[in-house]
Amino acid sequence: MELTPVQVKVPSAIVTAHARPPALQVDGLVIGLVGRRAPMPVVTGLDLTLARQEVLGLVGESGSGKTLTSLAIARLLDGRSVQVLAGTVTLFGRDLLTLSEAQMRSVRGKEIGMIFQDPMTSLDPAFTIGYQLTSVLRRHFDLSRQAARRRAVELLGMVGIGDPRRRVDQYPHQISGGMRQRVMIALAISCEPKVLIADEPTTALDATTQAQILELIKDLAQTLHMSTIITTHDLGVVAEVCDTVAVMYAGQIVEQATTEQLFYHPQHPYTERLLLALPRVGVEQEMLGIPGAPPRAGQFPEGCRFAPRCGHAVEPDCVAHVVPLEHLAPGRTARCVRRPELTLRGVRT
Amino acid sequence: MTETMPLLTVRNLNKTFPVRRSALGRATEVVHAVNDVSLEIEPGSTLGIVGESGSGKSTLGRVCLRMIEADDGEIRFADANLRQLSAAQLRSTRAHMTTIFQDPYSALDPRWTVGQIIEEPLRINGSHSRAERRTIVADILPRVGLSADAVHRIPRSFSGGQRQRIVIARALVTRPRLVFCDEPVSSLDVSTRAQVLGLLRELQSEFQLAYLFVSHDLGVVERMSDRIAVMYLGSIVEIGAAETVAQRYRHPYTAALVSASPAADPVAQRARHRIVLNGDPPSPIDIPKGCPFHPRCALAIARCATDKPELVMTPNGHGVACHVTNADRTLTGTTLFDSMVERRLSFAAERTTS
Amino acid sequence: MTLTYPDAAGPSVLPAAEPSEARRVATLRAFLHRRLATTALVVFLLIVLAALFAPLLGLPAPNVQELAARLQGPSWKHLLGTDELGRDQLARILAATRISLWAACQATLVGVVLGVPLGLAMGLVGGRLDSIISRAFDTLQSIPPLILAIAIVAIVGRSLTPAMIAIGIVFSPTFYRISRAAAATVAGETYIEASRSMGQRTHKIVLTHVLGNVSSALIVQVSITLAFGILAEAALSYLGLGVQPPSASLGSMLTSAANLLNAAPQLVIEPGVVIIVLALCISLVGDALRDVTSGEQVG
Repeated sequence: MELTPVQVKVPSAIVTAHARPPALQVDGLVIGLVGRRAPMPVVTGLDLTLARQEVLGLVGESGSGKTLTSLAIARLLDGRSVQVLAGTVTLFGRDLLTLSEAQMRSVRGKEIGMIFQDPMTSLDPAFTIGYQLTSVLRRHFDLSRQAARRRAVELLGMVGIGDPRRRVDQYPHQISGGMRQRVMIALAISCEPKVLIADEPTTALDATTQAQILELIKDLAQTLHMSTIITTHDLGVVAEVCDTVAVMYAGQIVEQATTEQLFYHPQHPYTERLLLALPRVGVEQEMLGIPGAPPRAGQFPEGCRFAPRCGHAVEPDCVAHVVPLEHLAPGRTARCVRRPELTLRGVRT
Repeated sequence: MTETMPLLTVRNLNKTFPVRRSALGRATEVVHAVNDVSLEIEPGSTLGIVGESGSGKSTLGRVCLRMIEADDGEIRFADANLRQLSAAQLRSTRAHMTTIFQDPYSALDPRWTVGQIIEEPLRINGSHSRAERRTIVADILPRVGLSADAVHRIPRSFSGGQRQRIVIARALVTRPRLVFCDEPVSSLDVSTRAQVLGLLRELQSEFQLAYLFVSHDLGVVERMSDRIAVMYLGSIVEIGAAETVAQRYRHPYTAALVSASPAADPVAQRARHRIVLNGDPPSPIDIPKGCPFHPRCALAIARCATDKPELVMTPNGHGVACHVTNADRTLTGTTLFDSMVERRLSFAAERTTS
Repeated sequence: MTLTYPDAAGPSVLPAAEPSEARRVATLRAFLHRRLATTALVVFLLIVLAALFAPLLGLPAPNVQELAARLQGPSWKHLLGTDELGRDQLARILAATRISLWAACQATLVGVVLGVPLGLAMGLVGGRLDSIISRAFDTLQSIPPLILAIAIVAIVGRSLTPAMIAIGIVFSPTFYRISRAAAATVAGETYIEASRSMGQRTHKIVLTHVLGNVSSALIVQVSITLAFGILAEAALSYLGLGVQPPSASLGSMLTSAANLLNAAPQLVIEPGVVIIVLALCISLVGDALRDVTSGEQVG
């Protein structure tokens, strides 16, 4: 099947702002469901730039393609049902999609660290925490058994696990959910990756634990000079840790901005509605949901994909043509034809 | 007189689960999931229960509806003594107290149509003919925001939010008076969450429902509740009007919960201080002596490690179980918050100088 | 300009959802899409129908001897020829098929009746009773089916039914294990707790929720047991322990024809082919059913 590019590619503004290449650059990424039928694009032409030592939030509802995007970057898509159909992923100037699987294995861990949503299923219940850490360490570094163990204890201390010497010999089921996520983070940073990808790292956790884990990720990103992508459906998480945000809807980026700009001056109606849907303790404002459900892959509307759920949509402007991503300023984009005439509500107005 | 009578009254409820048994089958280690809990729910109102995993909040809800049996204590539902009811009496009472479950994926039988799912309580109840059941189901679908043709479809083809609407329809089809909402939105996206919460509030006023609303998210509980109870390791540590608990809270754990809930405003979020608790919540198998929260509390004094504080109620219905804040009534809301942050900071400073 | 917001809790747009009938049609279509399985099903049904309605086909009676026409090759009068006593081979094969299928059904039925209800109940209830009963079934499974069948025949005399019941008994642990495991999985689902919280009784939960969700696993096991039952009957009858003359089963036909292998090889080949084809067809259909229905359980 032929894929027509959904948007005109504009050189990313952030590249020009930095002298060195960014940590990670994604250009024209198309991810599709493949199988018996013709490939069905789920992510359609996604551009993303992660500056060095930046924490980027990739926000979207379930089915928006944010998780697929983060998996595609680490080349962890299961190639049988989901594949990258087009585009490039460049890590410090090196195209990841052309690497062999063997080369990619050394990139994973050493250059890209991953944290997944569910710490319960991401750890092997049959092995101790120490064994899982040391086996990763010894695969990537030339370390003796004792040295690897010392490093494992050190890593557990770094991620805020009390009494790491005892914990290192425990099994995953012996520790709490929050602590398991800390172990997952220790695994992810064990080989000092330059880029950390955290896929919904706190969705399965309680409120107080969530705050602790986000704080930990932010601190580690700073001390280890990592560039970080956090995918989430919760803008509250973004407010907590992210420098910049890309909002995804139905396989596209609809708005990209610094966290402050996005929260105080949203430029896309979908972002506005996401902000209104947030519960806030002690603030007398009604939580508003977004009516309807996001379109499914293969049923994306012709024009603006958010139009059927948007309170601002008008015919024919919003439904007739494909809406391009408009570049407003370096690092600031929005995909809305009515943007100039709308005044959207941020959290402080 | 019915105006003053609570719909659900719970007194001194206890529930333990055995985790390890000796060779003779005697429980040698128990989880104290619900520890001497008392509460009331007025007809048509919402009692929110907030707490982290392991706090016993979901168990409390299940025990209150006798989905699991309590060890001791008293439960009165309307004018019935729930724990004394026979199996047959209990079955007929079930129509009046229903449940909305957390996970809308496993709460629906994948092989049943939406129509079959929603009419299941009516079928069990046995009080309606087939035609009546069909009319009732057709009436309730638009009320929960589903189209009429959903009746013949199966759950697989619905999104999480839509499935939760089916679960809600099933819970309301018998016209209950009390609905136990067990984390009804925590497995949904933020945007869908607000929709479902809005729907629950609409249905509450339309059908005069009382909710027992359990969640780990203080922001959500505050939106939904008239009164809030904060649970920690099986005990209620603070209870009161929603606004009071969320803003003029007087328990250090409530302060920590408030501190942990996101402000949804990046500048405010990063400017404010945060109460960082010591470590993870202890396991409910091994509940600390004295105040269950004292090992993680910045304000703990010697007495907290030995005596368990009572829930002291004020005349306006605000109850707190804390030795420190009950002795010093000025410690409420932001004052309490700041003193906790300060204590933690000075503690950290002491550690670095020594 | 003023901002208007649509009602937050308003009816949502339903994406195209598949109705239950469409799903059934889709399952059927997915099955028919598998050429091999469809062919197997058609062949199997043809054999079963022919076996059931053999008397209506106008064939000679299976036990009537026509000593003048012994060991004849295929002809228009006798499509598959005649045996050593001049009986019509086609009529005998059809009669034998009916006996073999019935025997396989007996074994399967015994296995299902013994294993499934207990398995469903124990999977849902759990606890100490569950572990005791599970151990008992484990013990039963350690007995080799054919040896037990031979032992039972030795006690009650040469007859097919007791032998097949014995095979069914030895197969019941498999049914027990499958239905227990499936029920235990389903028991953890919230919809079971939901049903209970509405006041539903346990046995009705088994009938309404559990049975439906374990059925696809059971269908497969039934097909495997049927296929094995046909082979087991053939083996027993070949050893002379099954059906007694003049009645014939597919296995006993093999035995009596084995002596004449050189003179009339078709007498061995014909029932042999029917045994193989039946067992193969049942397995193929069962496999396809599993593939088609398991996809739908996930959702």
